[in-house]
Amino acid sequence: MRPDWAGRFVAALLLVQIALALGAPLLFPDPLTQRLDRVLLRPGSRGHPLGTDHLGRDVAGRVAHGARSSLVAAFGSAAIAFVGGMALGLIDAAGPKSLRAVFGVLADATLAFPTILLAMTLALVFGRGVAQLSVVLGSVYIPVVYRVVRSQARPVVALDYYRISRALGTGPIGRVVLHLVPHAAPHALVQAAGLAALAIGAEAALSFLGMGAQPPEPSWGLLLSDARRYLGQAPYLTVVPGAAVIVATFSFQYGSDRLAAWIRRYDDG
Amino acid sequence: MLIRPAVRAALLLMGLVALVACRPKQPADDAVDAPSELVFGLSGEPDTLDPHATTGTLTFQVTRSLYDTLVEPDRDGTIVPALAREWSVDPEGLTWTFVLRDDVAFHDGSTFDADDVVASVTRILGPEFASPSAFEYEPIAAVEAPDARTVVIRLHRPHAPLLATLASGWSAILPSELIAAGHDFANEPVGTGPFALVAWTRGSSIELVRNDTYWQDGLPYLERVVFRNVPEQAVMARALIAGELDVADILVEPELGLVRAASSADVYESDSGLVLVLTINTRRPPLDRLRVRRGINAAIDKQAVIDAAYAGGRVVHTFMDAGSPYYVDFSDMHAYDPQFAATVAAETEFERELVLRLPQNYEPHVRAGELYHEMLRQAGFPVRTELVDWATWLEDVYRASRFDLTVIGHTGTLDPDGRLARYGSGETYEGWVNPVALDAIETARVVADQERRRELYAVALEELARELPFVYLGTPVGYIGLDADLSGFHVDVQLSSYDLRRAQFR
Repeated sequence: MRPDWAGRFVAALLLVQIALALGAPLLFPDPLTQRLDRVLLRPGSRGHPLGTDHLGRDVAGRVAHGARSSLVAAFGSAAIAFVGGMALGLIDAAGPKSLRAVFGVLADATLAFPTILLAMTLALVFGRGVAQLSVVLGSVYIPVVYRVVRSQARPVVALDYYRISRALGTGPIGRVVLHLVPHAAPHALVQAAGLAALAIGAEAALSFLGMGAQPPEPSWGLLLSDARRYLGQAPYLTVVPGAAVIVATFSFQYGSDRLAAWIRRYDDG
Repeated sequence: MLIRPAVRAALLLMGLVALVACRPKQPADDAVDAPSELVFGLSGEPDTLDPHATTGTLTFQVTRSLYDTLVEPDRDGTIVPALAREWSVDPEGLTWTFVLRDDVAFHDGSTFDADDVVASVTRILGPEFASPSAFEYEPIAAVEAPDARTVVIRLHRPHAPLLATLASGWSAILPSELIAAGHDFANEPVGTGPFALVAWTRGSSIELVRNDTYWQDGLPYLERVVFRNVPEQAVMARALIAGELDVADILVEPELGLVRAASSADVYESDSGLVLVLTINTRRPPLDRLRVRRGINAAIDKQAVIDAAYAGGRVVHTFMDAGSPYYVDFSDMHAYDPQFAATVAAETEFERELVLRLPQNYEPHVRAGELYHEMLRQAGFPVRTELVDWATWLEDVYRASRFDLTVIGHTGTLDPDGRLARYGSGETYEGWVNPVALDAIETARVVADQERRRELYAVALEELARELPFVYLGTPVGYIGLDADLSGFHVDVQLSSYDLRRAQFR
């Protein structure tokens, strides 16, 4: 089998981001410290490789710390969507048939709303902050995973080995764990990884609008929101966090594609 | 016949010249006609257009063009006749008599008379309407209309700020017939002002058209005024430079520099009547303790904040704008002392983080909030910032007092009583209780002697300065962006509202 160089590259990219996010407090200056005598320094200035913002805060430190909000939102919402979607999808497949219509309608209704709009509405209820945002985005994404799990698990219920397992006296929970989870989980994981990519964009968008991370916390969306006023004088303030959003989104999205390809190969033997 | 090319070209040219010459001439005045529509960028949206129903400055900034008051400030701030032609007061200071103009009509065509004044004053005073300006009228015992051109206002006790109150935005005169009919003034204002409402598209724009029967001859000059809601400072400044806006209500850095450099726009600097503050909710422990508030105050480098967030201004140390004749300097009372702030923060027990709620649509306040947040964090105070939209700020922070700290600018009023009334009673949003200040403010209201009033306000301002229900930041310079061709634009500084009657394009 050919080594998957692209996959390895993306995996390395993800690890670097996670390392930067985790190591930010050690590697970079405090992202909140303001130096009003050192505002809008260009990238390459001494002590500030990526420059400073309008309040004299270190851009590199803010972007690295901002990765934390983004990754929390990405992993948090993907995990919630994965667990919630798996649970609902498996109940749908293995549980009473009467539930299927109810779940289906609820999922369709949720998906009918534009994600950002729904997330903004929920953010008003849950309050503002990255943790709340992860819960909100995760809840909004549950139906997406649910649909994948459902489509994977429903056919299995009709297969002979599943019926035989039931005839042999395996309990409902045992049947789900033994036969349905192994079948559906990889696909749900791929979907969740794709949603993590969306969550990074959504976190940035909601923080940009003031509904996610709250100032002065560093978050890419907030950084972009601050930066847009200095587009003329200090374009690097926009470029750096913008590039960070692109790289993170790309690595999750592409990672999810590689994961899917890998699972396909595994399924095919 | 063959015509040589050169000749052909010459003939063609002559034909063109002839054609141009034959075109009917444009009327001369049409050619030089200046635009007559003013597009006014407002950084927020009024919550209502009923001037009796709010204390929101944005409302008065719009309703100033829709309504008139009995008297009004002239360009120097002196109170002059408006809907009232003249007025007099009896020697006891208890009975005020106003003689009204007889050439004024409302936008709906009905004639303005004394009944409208009585109905408007009664509406504000009435408990069922619950006007937030009712307390301004509290000294009024009765308002009567002996005839259609005369209004008599009787007071419980002498009340020095009465004229200033009657000249302020909330004293707008509404038509009595519509008041009686329960008309929806919040959305469909009907006044006597220089402009009338055409349409209010919520979240977008408020369109006004010239009142052709306005009582001041020849005014206003403009045909239409459109207030456009532009919450983004960057968008506001660029729209002004591009000519899409004729007025930008607030300019701050970095856009201020852009506008100064642009030839299409001018910067109008006004001595704003604002007092910028970091408000402390004195009801909530541990903020109810003076020592904690002193610690917070000591953590703030005021000059740095006013320069970085508000493009400069004069630092103040009490609840009065630096330009006011009532201003007293208490700069030696509390100093900027991060060391002391850190000591206080370390010795104070906080059960939870202090929540700093910022009005999201006012970018300078948000930026100031970020500066305050960091200065307090450096001193060791646990702070968490929360952005709220303007409607939520008004409802939750200003009316319901649900905040620990907040950032805002308090606008001035024609009389110091307007700024200071009720402070010290514990009923204002910061919840500060101080009987000495309250008593001085209440007494100053009924004293006619100017010198005595000044002394009483100095007492109140000293209490406010010492007990720090606010961290007083300063009075910013007001920067308004104007189209370079616009003239006659005027800001009533003490009312923080705009007089557009003489505005016109050159």
